[in-house]
Amino acid sequence: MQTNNFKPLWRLVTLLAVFCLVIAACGNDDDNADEPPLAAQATTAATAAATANVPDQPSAPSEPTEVPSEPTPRTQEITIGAISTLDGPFAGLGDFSMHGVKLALMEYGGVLDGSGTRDGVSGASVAGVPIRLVIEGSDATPDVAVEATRKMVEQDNADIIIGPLSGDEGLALKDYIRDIPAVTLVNGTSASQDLTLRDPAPNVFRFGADGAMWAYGVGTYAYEGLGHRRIATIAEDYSYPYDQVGAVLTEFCAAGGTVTDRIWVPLGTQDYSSFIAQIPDDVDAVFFAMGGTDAINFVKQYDDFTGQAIPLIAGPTAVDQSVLTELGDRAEGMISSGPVVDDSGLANFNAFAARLDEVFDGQTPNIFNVYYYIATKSALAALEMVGGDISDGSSAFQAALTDLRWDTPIGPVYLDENRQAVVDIYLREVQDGAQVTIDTLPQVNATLGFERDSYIAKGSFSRNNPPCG
Amino acid sequence: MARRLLGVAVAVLLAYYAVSKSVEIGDRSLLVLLNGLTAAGLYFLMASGFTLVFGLARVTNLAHGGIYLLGGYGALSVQRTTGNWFLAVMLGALFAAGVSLVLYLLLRLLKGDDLRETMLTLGATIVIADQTLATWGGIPTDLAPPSFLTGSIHLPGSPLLYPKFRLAVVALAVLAGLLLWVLLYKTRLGMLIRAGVDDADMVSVLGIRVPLVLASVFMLAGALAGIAGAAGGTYLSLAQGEDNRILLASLIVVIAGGLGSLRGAGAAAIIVGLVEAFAQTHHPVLSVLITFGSLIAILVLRPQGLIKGATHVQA
Repeated sequence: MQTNNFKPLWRLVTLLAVFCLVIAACGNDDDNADEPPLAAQATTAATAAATANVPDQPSAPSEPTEVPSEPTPRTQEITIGAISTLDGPFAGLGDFSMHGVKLALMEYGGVLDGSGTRDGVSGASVAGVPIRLVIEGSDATPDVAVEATRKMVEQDNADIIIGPLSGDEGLALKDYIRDIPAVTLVNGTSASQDLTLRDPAPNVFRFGADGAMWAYGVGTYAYEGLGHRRIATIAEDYSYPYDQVGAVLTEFCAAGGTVTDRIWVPLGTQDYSSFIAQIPDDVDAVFFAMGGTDAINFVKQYDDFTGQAIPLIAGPTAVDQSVLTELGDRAEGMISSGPVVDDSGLANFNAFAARLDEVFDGQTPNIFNVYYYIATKSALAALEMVGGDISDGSSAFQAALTDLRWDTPIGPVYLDENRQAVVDIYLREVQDGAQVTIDTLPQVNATLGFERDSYIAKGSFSRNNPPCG
Repeated sequence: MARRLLGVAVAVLLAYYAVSKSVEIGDRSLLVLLNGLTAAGLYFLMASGFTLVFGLARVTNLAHGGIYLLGGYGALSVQRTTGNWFLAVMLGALFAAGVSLVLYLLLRLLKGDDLRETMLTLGATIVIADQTLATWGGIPTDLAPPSFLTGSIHLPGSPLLYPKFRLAVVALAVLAGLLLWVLLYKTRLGMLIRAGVDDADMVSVLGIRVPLVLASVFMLAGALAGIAGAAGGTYLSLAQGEDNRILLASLIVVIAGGLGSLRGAGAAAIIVGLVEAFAQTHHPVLSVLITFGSLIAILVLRPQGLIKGATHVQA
């Protein structure tokens, strides 16, 4: 009797428990996207992508041969697949990035299909070859990003992937795309150092900086310019903030400063009160590295609790133009390094800003629309150099990309031997809701100016690397 | 017997740990305590509605997080138009209650098949998430607190500041708890709800229109979630993904407290809020693990939850 009564209840409890686990799994970003099964699938995908012409052909039960190196017979069309975070916590940033992609295509004769984020661009062409745009979204988790990209490669026959947006997504896509050499990934805003610095993939290109490069200069400035000697750091607990904190501490500690606490918060924390309580009273400044919602929540609560009695130094995306409006007055005077300033005066920047405002009604430049624009335009420019011909398995196209140099809206760019950009970084301050230049740091490279081999040998930045006395 | 001993042992260990850690951080422990209570307040507002709906209707309403978000965004729109926070909260709660009612009407079509009902609420969360994204955009935003709750006050006997609005959230949750108690134990509707929880068939045989009672419980739960959304949207923020986060937290609270038990929800909200706050302070990296671990510990010791709620299930 008793047991009978309990049965349906237990079913519900089980269901709830499963749901909890699913949600917990979705919220967890450090996913094991490079497990053996996935790699095996990727090889199958490569085979399918290289042999399939019919989009709907079921992925073939492939014999265990290796990837055919024969050039794919192609239609008279090149497909660009753009991926960004169109759902989940970074959904707003996904919108911005697609603006950048579309602006670049419009420079090549494209016309917007509609005003929605997922509406494509038609009519664009390079050297007479029509360009088709496919848009897919992820929710900032690596496995969803890989699935969406797999869909674009296998079903839409995408030749070039633009994206993704977030750090760990980039690392997962690198592992996936490495096995499909004819497909080229031009990174969007994924800023994990190891997308290019360690174990690079030959068909992955990054025309922007990584997280450590973005944060270049602010550690030295905090010590020398602002006179800080002791700082604490608080940042989200995954690869991209490790890189930012790592870069800041590398410089700050080399200059002679010390770090008292490194506080790591789970990505997507709502309530920062108990983390703020851990910040010691006797530090000169607090460096915080967070993105999107987290930055807004943190700054607001830090302000509520302390009135910013200890000044904040910001990570590059924490005070990006995409969140400055929502940060409001609380961000005034914050110092940071980053790739985009509003007063650079560069002709290309002003033209980009004007065009963005005109096409997307009031939008202003931020990391996401600028970087996706640069990625897409770089790909299109390299395509133009090879006459829109990628029938050789993209090798001429990838060579052209490697040699590409141009003046982007945020300064000149060229690639190093790992296909990682060398770029200008700006030291900046928030004034009246805009990012104003304190100093331009020209031609920052992936090793932040340190000797390459020894820098790489120090290992990836982590919760407690670099050490700091 | 062994289980009871184990329970006592765990409780003693936890208490010892909490006290020793509190001494270690001195006056900051008051801060962390208040942080935990603030979180508990928000969790209780969510969990009480969830547990009422479950107790009476046997519906596992996974759309409860979505309704939280809708209440918050609704309040945001009202505040942007009128500038009045209180009006915003009231209309936001009303909006959330309306959505909850619609959800109930949809659920009625399924005639009590719990798996399909749960799937329907799960589908509703996805629809709501996309609609909020389309309407209010993906950039996080928040409500401005009323002017007399803006800023911080000094905690008594300590140099530490604490935001006024967070204290107000605790007060709001206590108030909501009291009102719910009055409603459930001092009114006719409350009597019907409690009777319905115990034996819905019998209540309906007695000539009570159970669907009306159910509809009012759904609206009540929706309104509570809406208020939680407006409060959370004020001291935290409104953004995509918040719905899942708050739903997960309230599921932990409801399961730990005992499905269907209001007192259990209150007790569990306080426990989960405090465990979370202290874990985040002392073991930030393990905080998620510790929060879930305490849920597991509670369920091992008391599979029915802290306080045994509704167990009589319709055949």
